This record gives sequence, C-alpha cells and structure tokens, in this order.
Amino acid sequence: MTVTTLQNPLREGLRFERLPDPCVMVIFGASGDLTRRKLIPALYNLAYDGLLPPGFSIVGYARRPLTDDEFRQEMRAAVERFSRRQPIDPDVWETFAQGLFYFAADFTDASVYPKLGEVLERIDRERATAGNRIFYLATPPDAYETITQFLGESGLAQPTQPGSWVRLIVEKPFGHDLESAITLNNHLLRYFREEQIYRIDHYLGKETVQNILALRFANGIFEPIWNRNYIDHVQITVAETIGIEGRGGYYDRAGALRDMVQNHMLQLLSVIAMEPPIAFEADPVRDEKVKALRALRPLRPEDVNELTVRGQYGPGFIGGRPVPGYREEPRVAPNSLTETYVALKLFIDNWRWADVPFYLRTGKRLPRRVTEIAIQFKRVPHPLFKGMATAGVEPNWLVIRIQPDEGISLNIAAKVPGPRIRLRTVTMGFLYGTSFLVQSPDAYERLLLDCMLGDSTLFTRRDETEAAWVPITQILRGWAESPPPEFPNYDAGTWGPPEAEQFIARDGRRWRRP
Amino acid sequence: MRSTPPALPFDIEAIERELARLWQSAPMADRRNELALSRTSVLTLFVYAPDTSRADTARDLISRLSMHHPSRVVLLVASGQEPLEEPQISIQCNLGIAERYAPCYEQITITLPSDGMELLPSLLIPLALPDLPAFLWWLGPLPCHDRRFVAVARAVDRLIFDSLESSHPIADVIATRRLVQQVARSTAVSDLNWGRLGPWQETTARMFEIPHCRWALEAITRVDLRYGYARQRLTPNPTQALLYLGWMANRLGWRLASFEVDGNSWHLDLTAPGNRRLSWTIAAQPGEELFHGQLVHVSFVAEHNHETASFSIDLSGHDRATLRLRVHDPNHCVLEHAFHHHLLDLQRLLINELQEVTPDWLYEHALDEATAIAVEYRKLERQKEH
Ligand SMILES: NC(=O)c1ccc[n+]([C@@H]2O[C@H](COP(=O)([O-])OP(=O)(O)OC[C@H]3O[C@@H](n4cnc5c(N)ncnc54)[C@H](OP(=O)(O)O)[C@@H]3O)[C@@H](O)[C@H]2O)c1
Repeated sequence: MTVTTLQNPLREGLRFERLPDPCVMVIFGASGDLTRRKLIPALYNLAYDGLLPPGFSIVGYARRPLTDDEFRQEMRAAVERFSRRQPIDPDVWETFAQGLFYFAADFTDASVYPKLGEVLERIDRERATAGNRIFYLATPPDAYETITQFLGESGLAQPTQPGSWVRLIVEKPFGHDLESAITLNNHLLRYFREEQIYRIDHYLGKETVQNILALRFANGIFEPIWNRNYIDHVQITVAETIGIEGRGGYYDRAGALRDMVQNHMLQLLSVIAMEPPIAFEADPVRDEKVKALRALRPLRPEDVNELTVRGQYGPGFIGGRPVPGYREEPRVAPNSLTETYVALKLFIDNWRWADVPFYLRTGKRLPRRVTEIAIQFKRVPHPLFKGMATAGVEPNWLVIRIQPDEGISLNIAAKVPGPRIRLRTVTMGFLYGTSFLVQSPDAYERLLLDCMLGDSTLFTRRDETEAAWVPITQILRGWAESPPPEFPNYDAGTWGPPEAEQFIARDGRRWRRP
Repeated sequence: MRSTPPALPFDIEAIERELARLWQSAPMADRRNELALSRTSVLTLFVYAPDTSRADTARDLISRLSMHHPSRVVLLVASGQEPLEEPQISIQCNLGIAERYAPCYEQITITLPSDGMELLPSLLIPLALPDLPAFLWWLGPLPCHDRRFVAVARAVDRLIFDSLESSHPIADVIATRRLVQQVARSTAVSDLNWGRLGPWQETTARMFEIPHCRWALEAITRVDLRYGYARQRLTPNPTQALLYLGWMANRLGWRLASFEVDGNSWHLDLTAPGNRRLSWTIAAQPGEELFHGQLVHVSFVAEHNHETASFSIDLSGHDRATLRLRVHDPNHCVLEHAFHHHLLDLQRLLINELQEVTPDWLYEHALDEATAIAVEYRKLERQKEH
C-alpha cells in the first residue's frame, strides 16, 4: 500500500491520515443487524471524513432478493438512523452509494462463488479497485467455515493481480473453547494465510492500546517500577449496568467468562503485563502480548474454585428503576446456570510479575458502567508517619480509566497544610478526550480502516486467540467438575456476589470502588 | 524623535499570584454534579486581537475551543482606549463534557495600547507556561512589514496567522517569506489559509493515485484554477491560489517560463522536467464574501500519446462544505469521489495548527515558489506603470 505513497510526489508532507488502496469490501450477511447498525454507518462516516479512497466499493451478500437500488435505499435509511454524522451529506452519500452493490445468493451454494468473482472483476474495471478485496464475515459463526471454504475453492481467497491483496475479517465469537478455536483456525488457514486474517475484537479501540503503550513506554518514570518489586497487585474491572439486551439466546450459551474475559479482559491484561516490544508495529506488539498470555499460571481444576467467583444477578434496581433478574430475561432458561459475573485471580509466571496477583472482575447489572485498570503500588518500606493522622492515606494507585472519560489518575499522599503532620490522599488526573482537542474515532471505523491499510495491530492473531482460550478452558473444566453455586447470588445494582468481597479479602486486599 | 511606548499599569507577576489564589480557593470538586475539577495543561495560547470586534470573535472561539482544551489562554486586545483596563483573570471549568471530570482552563485578558507592539514580548515570555509550547494566534492582517514584529514572533514557538486577512496580498506574500526566514530558528509559522488548502491538496494527490490515472501526473498540459472574489473587498486575494500553485510547482519541479496578466486573470507558462510545457490559468471568480480568496474550482487536463484524461475538483453541496472530484479517464470511465471538508470552520483550522509543533516544510517550500511568482507579478506591474 505504500507503493502509491512513494510514487506520488504530491503525497509527501500532507497532513491527512494515510489513505488505503482502492478496494472492494464484500459483506457476507449484508441484510443483517451488524451491517445495518455498525458496518455501513462506520463506512459512510469514513467516507464523510475523506478517509476512503476514490473507487471504494461494497458488495452486500445475503439471500433476501434486493436490487442494487433497493439495497442502497436500505443502507441510506441505516446511515440516517445510526451514523454519528447527521444530517447526511448528499454529495458524500451519492458518491458513496455509486459504489454500493448487492449480490443475492445463498452462501452455502458453491456454484455462486464464480459469479461473485465476475462481479468483483467488473467492479475492478469500472471503479479502479485493482483486485484488492476484503471479505467481511458478518454472519452467524456457524457459516464461517462454509464461506471460507468456498472462497478458497473458487480462487477468490488469493490475489489474482500483481501487487493486489485479499483480506478476511472474522467477527467474534471466535470458537467457544480452546479446541473449537483451534479447529476454526486450522480451517481458515487451509484457504487464507495468517497475514490475511483479521479477527475483530472491537472492544479494545486502538486509542486505548496506544494510550497504554505510550504511558508505559514513552515515560521514563513508569517502566523502572513496573514490576513485582514495586507493584502490589493489579485490578482490572469491566462493569456494565446493562443486562443482556435481548441477546439472551447467545448469552445464555456464552456467559461472562467467554463473552468478556476470554477476549476483552485478557487483552487488557496482556497490554499491561507485556514486555516492551521491539517496534510499535503489529507483530512485535502481538509477540509480546502472546508471551504474557503464555506465562499465565495454569489453573488446575481443583484450584479453580479458590481462584474464581461466579455470580448471576437477581432482580434489583439500576439508577432507581427496577430491573428483572437474569432468569426472567427473554430467551434465558428459567433455571439457567450461566454466570453474569465473574471474578478471578491470575498470576503471570515470569521474571517481571512472579507472585503479583492480577484480579479481574466483570459483570452485568452492576451499579456503575466503568472499565479501568488499577495498579496498586506497595506501601513504603518504613512507616515514617506512623501514629500521626494518616487515616485517609491509601497506597499509591495508578488508574488507567478506559470508560467513561478515558484518562489516567494517580493517587499520592500529601501533607495537609498546617503545623501538625496530617496526611491525605490526593488524586491527580487527566482526560485524553479533553486534553488534545481531537475526538477519538468510533471503534468500528478505526478497525475497518486499519484492515484496509493492512495494519493488524488491533486484531487478534491465531496464537493470541488460542493462548487466551487456555486459561478460560481450564476454568470451564474446573467449573464443570464442581457443584454450581446457588444462583442468583447478587442483586442487580450491587457490586456482585458477597463471595467476591471475601475472595479478595482473604488476601488482605479489597476491591477498589471505581 | 521616537516617543516612548506607553507602559502597562499593572504588574505581570500579579497575574500569576491571582491565578494561584484562584486555584487555591477553587473547590476541588463540583459537589452538586459529582464532578472532580481537573487541571491539565498542554500549551499556552496567546491570541492577539487588533480591535474590539475581532476580540469578540476571538472570545467566542476561545470559549468553544476550550471546551476541549484545558490550557492557558491569554487574550491580548489592542483597545485604543485610555486609560487601559485592569487585566481580567479567571478559571473556567467546563461541566457536562466528561461524565466524572470537569476540565478547567485559565483565561487572562489584557488590554493593550493600540501601539503596543514593543510591549508584547515582555508579556508573552513570562506568561507562557513552562516546558509547554506557546502559540500566538494573530487576528487581523499580519504586521509582516513591521520590523518590531520579529521580536514578537520570536517570543513564541508557533505563530498562526491568516493571509486571507491581508489587504496587500502580493506584497505580504513576499514579506511573510522574509519573516519566516528571520524567525526560522525559534518559531514555526502557520498560515490558516495554507491549512484551508489541505483538502484540495489531498484530493489532488488522490486523483493521481487512482490506478488508471497514475500516468496523468507526468502528462499534465493544462490547469485552470479559480478562486472567489467578493467585489466589496476591492482587491482580490490570490494568496491561496499562489500557495497551491507553489505547492505543485515544488513537488513536480515546475519552473515559471512566462507570465501574462489580464485584469484579474493570470496566464502562466511553466516548464516541467523533460522540457514539457504546461499552461496555468488563475482567475478571480466573482462571488460571495464567504469564499473571498478561497479556491472554488481546479481542473486538470493530461495528454499523452493521443490519450486524454481530465479531472475537476469543486466545492459542492448546499453549504458548499463538500469537495467533489470528477475523473474522466481515457477508457471513458467516470469516477466520482466526495468528502466533507472544514475549510470554512475557523475553529477546526485553528485546532489543526495547535496540534503541530514542528515547522511545516511543505508550507515553507510552497511559500518560496509563491514568492517567486509574486516577485514576477510585481515586475510586470511596475513595467506597466512605466
Ligand atoms: N449485531 C451486532 O451488533 C454484533 C456485534 C458483535 C458481533 N456480532 C457478530 O456478527 C455476526 C453477524 O451478526 P448479526 O447480528 O448481524 O446477525 P443477523 O442479523 O442474524 O444477520 C445474519 C445475516 O446472514 C445472512 N445469512 C444467513 N444465512 C445465510 C445464507 N445461507 N446465505 C446468505 N446469507 C445468509 C442473513 O441474510 P438473509 O437472511 O437475507 O440471507 C443476514 O444478513 C455474528 O457472528 C455476531 O456474533 C454482531
């Protein structure tokens, strides 16, 4: 993609973001919810901001019979409803819609793929897309294998023109345990090379990862103390106030451990725990993240109960309003044993982190929506101010807040002015969003653009997905072997089951109030 | 004999003392809204307004800007009124931006005597926050012919001005280049009018990246460029057009061969590497005040071995906030491309400049080329006068 950049002397020194090569994106599942709510609005927003190249085109693929024009009308309605750019700019829409096409077919029918190939070639000729393609799997996960197999067998999975590229975007969930993830990976890799595969984890926006890496590796003061000598423990919290929002069918099979911990929380953990990468590029960053995940101490089935707490919410109140319990939600079994809350303690067995506990907790229907990573530093070795008024003094916390108000805060102890020695904790903080005048782009916009640019930093690599499934599968096994807890065990609107408090209190620590 | 410039009736250090007092007495949190007040500093922004009406424009923009930028802002207003007012010092905290934090910024307003140029460095230097970049946004025409201004520019890290404000555009292009060279060691210079060219440059670069059209970059034979001219402004302002031409000439190695002026239309012949000739027309197109001095249309023709391709870029949309590219390539394929631009949004233009901390070499090169053309133009005008 840098070829054009180098050849074009007009490109040098311009302040615009890098522009992707012209390409066609084929969306499998184009009449579905994800396409309408997220993908097309995100692509339109990119077009509006001038981040898409001339000629960029989309082929929507689903069974419902629609003409190109009908598809364009439906997508326009979707953009009017879901785009953050309102009202629609008629010129931007018109030129964007010139590149929207619809392909009505069943993707389980192998015979239609050559026809898809012809459509793509025609678009290449008419819209100068140069054979570059992205296949986006916005379909139910059980279709991933069929589609990729037919793409591979029809020759569409590999580039046909010199210098062109073909990429595949796979939505989550990526497997339901280690074994299924390996099977799916093996299947995909029969038809695509690993560099072609972009596994989406839309939760961890690029900004957040880059902010954390910049904090850690662009500041001389943190890295020397970022280890077991100075850090007492780490707490990672992903708290949601929402319930399951009509996704009962999916959630009841998944649960909090698969839905949140396997992907999002282990991503956060690996960014905090990783060693400095040799370069700020996709592979070096992911190499280090995988190493951290691989160093997670194995969980033996007999220890799982000691290292985890499961919870499920009952009825309660959120923001002063009554909400039903999990088992009363639509499409949830009335005796469901699915966890909507989980707390766990993990250790990373390496030189840097030996014996430093990482406490993770996530849950639905908790009292506040917040995602944060809190790092507690050890107390000073000698309590100089003992016996003086130090009641309000906490150990130092460095808190990396991701939601809401992405930012960083640091607690330090300071003396209250006056003749007596009285110490209090003060918080110093700053917000990313209000410090630099720029809005962070929406996560899907960033991800789609990164894929077009061939930047896979934010997508999970094969070894990363599998490494993250290892501890999760160990926990699932441990849980399967022990009797299920008495569910529901926490009220909606509380910070989870009381066992979670005892769980951390046993170690002489407590959860932060985020 | 030189008169001594008027002195300010207050002590600069008192400003810092007052700010410290304000921060001490400010509550740490807004209890009613459960917000923590947060103080973060990223830069110091000095804003110079030569009159009270421009000061109002600046105030409005500063309050919108600081919604997202908790920094120190110092507004310097040349009031022309005596006696001078006492400085106004305040801390503003914005509720309702973030859920749990309210970013704050310091605002200082200082009124200056109308001829306060010499005083300025002694205000800018002590009031800039330590270790952070200091920006000076100069509203109104840039006093680039005033020698005392060099010391003002040198007192900050970046000077931001708008050549659209110029009333003698050709002379000012030449003087601005001299200023840029004089302050180069200490200060980067940003022209908001150059910032407005960003989307035009980007679109131009894009046309030649379309796979079918790459050949055309080295086969351009004709360029037509039109910029807006509001008649009530008396003279057209071709600075933006000159910078655009300067940019292309610099990037593609074009040299001026001949120059003709016909009223508000200029015809230039250029030589490209390999002794290729191409012609440029720059014409002022009468229109609304809003587009005075702004590019409104650029078209290119490229010819090579009996193949011809043409491209055009126009402002479009009901509010003209979209840039639309049309491409007709030799295979008769028509491709259109449009995106939203922020050419007319002063706040966005300013924000872009506040994010830059290093000199913009592309601007400096384009300004060099634009100056060469401006010098030729002046020669032609002088010849006519004789
Ligand atoms: N929705 C979200 O917000 C969201 C968020 C994160 C991840 N995801 C993931 O994204 C994927 C898609 O989710 P979704 O909510 O958009 O699903 P959905 O609304 O059920 O859409 C499924 C799409 O697949 C098409 N389809 C199904 N079988 C087909 C076949 N045999 N041939 C051709 N087309 C077929 C359907 O179109 P026809 O019926 O017209 O054929 C429809 O367009 C899932 O993997 C989901 O887990 C979704």
